Amino acid sequence: MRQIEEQTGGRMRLGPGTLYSSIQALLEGKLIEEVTRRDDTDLMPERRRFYRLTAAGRKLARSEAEKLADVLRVARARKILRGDYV
Amino acid sequence: MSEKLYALLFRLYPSQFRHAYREEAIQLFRDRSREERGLLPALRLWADLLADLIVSLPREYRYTRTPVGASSPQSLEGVPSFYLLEDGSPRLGAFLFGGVLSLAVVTTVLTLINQPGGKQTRRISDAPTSMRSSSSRSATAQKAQVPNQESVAHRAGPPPVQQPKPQNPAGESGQRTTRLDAGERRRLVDRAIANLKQYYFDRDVAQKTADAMLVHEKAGDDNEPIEGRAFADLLTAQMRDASGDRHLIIEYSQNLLPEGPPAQTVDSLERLHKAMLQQNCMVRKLQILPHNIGYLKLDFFPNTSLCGPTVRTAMASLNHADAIIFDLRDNSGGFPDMVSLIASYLFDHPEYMYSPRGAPTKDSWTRSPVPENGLADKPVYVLTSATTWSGAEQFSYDLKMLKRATLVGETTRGGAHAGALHRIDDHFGMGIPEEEPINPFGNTDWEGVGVEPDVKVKAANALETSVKLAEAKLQKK
Repeated sequence: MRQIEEQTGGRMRLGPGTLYSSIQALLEGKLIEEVTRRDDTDLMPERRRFYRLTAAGRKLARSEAEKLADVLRVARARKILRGDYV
Repeated sequence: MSEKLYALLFRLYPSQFRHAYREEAIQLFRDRSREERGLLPALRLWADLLADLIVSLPREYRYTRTPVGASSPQSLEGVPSFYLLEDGSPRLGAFLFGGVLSLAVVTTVLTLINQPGGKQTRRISDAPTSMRSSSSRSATAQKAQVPNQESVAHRAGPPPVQQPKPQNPAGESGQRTTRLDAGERRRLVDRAIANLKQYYFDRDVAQKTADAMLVHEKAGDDNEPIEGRAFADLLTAQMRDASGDRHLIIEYSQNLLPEGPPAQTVDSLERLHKAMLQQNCMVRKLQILPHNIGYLKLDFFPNTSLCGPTVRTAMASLNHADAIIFDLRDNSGGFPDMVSLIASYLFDHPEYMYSPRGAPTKDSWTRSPVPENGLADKPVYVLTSATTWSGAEQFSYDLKMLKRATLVGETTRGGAHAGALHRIDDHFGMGIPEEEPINPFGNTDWEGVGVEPDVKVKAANALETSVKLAEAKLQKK
């Protein structure tokens, strides 16, 4: 949650309900999977869960990013957005 | 505190989601509230959480509504599919809430139905023989005489027969709530006295009662302007006081009493008969218990012309039992001819089955001995409860008095008498016992007091107790 907030400069603030419902949707779509880290349990007594992207998830994320990049290119060509780095 | 509040809010999510992520979500909340201290950050945190709830709650419920068969590999095209809102079993609180809600709805509906202003429905029943024919008998009379019959008819399932709304030439609603004036009161007393003298079986008592009522009238006891029902109660009290007969009654009906007896349509009788046969003539249980004890649970004594064959078959199936238990705990009465028919199996010679409801008929005697019957000398137990009523009380009382059965359970409800109800006017009727059959067992029957059991136990334990008694008796042999 904190990471999302920081990455979006505080514009996107995710609550636990939204976060976990998104995680659940991603899990069921087999886009992410849960991983167990046994070695961490001693260091972290609080219950944490770890997820990583699956191959399908990575592929989908990439294609989504590419779509966005296309949108960006169009925006730049039309001089809606300036600069070469966003 | 705030963590508890959030945990409470989290319960709004579907159970599946809750079970999977509750701990983690609360952990996230804990993390944030640890870092965001102070009034403003806390306010922002709660604003976030509420926004989160508003966004994610509907989404989660929409999301969980996947078809049951979705994960199944077969194609479900064209096959009806069902959606589950919740996978987990409902919480105890949900059951409680549901229970309370249902109770409230049922109570409201019942209250609405029973409202005095509401339309009354009368069920036309197959009249038991306890009701003697009387041209002036009204529907209220039927109701007063056989409330048990009505309840059975209800249980048995035929839909209530709605009588056409009584016609009233004056165009009134058919209800009278105004107080009676002096003229009306005098007229009612006169009519009551006339009926009493004409129909009551003991002329001397009728005269004495009439005199007493006139004395009350002269003394001004009836002078209070009074509402119909209260006046009926007042006259009833006066009559009972003078005659000592608790079966004399004046009834007031808010709705118009119909002229003449209510029409018994072929339809309604057929419906009742069909329902009775569907209910296996109210034979609820028929078993041979361990130690060869026969057990018959009968909830009504239906008329023999309809249910004779069913009951005879039931009795024949118990023919080889060493003892027999009649369970009448839920029995609401019925027809004396069926009482005699069942009792026929318990004697080897004709016995008189006394019924306080009228002069003896040929059906008042048992048809003993029954050919090939093996029950005439077997121990008999009759189970009673505080709701055992009318015909079932006759069965219990007679078998007890004849020392043929041991009664186990509770004192019965106490409904013995029925008189014909005579119409006085549109709203008043009068119940008058017209004949008093002689009780061979003494002067008192069970009217108002019930039949005392030989072995007093709670109705719920009566079966167990009677089985023990029967087993003990059979072992002694």
